[in-house]
Amino acid sequence: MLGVIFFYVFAAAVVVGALAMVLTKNLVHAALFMAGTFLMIAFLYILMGADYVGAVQILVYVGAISILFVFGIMLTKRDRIEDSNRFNRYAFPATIVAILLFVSILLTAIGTAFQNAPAPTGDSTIQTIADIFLSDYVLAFEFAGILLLSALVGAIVIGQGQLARKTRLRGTTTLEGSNGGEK
Amino acid sequence: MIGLAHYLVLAGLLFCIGLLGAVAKRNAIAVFMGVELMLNSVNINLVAFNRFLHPEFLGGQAFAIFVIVVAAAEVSVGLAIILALYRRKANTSVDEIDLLKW
Repeated sequence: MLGVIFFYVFAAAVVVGALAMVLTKNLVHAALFMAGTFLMIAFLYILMGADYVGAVQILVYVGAISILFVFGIMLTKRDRIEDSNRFNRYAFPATIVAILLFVSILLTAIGTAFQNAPAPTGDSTIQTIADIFLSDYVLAFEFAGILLLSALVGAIVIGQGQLARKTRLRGTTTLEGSNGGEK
Repeated sequence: MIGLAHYLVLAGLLFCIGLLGAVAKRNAIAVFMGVELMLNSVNINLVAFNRFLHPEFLGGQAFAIFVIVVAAAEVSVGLAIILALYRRKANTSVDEIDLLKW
């Protein structure tokens, strides 16, 4: 019974936070609503017995990605922050498409008879997930590491500006020039 | 009792809200937020299917973690691209960035 109440409370918080994120006109408020929505989704994971996924969600989404978004907002200047999150000219057709898609998902999800399994025992899932990562999905696990490394290098290369590239080049040339002068 | 359909409807609603944000927003950072919301709704689906259909094998949760990894990589590269675009064109509106539009 408590699980039912928790589900409806967290689900309402998720939907309200997501709607506020999309509808607010202030981009910084949108980022904060996004962080709150991610936190409520993490609670939903824990409610489903997926404690490790919930912890990763809090660490990665709430802790890292939301802060990265705030950095992105702060590093790009705009005229007025109160009016920074407007809809474009496709707002009306996009709303129609979103509502139609939701209605179709709703009809499909309600109309399908799923065989709901009994609740899990409540053990920690970390041991099982670690076993899966290092046995069945070990190739995908290694590729995820390579992907993260390449994303790190790519973000540094793309994110450093023309100015940083020029000063670095100038630095190497002056260093070589001073070495040549000593000789 | 809360079943699989409840979580599917919630994830579908979240996906549609994220779609609205990704398609109909003017600022590129807001578009990115919509994409993140859509990825999160897919994660809810993965974990819910895992919990209600095959709770003995945690492949769905492992895939949710893979999705989180890919989303983190995507956000870091995407925000770097937005910053590079801002440095070049001095705004982040997706209406103005139409260099490759025919």
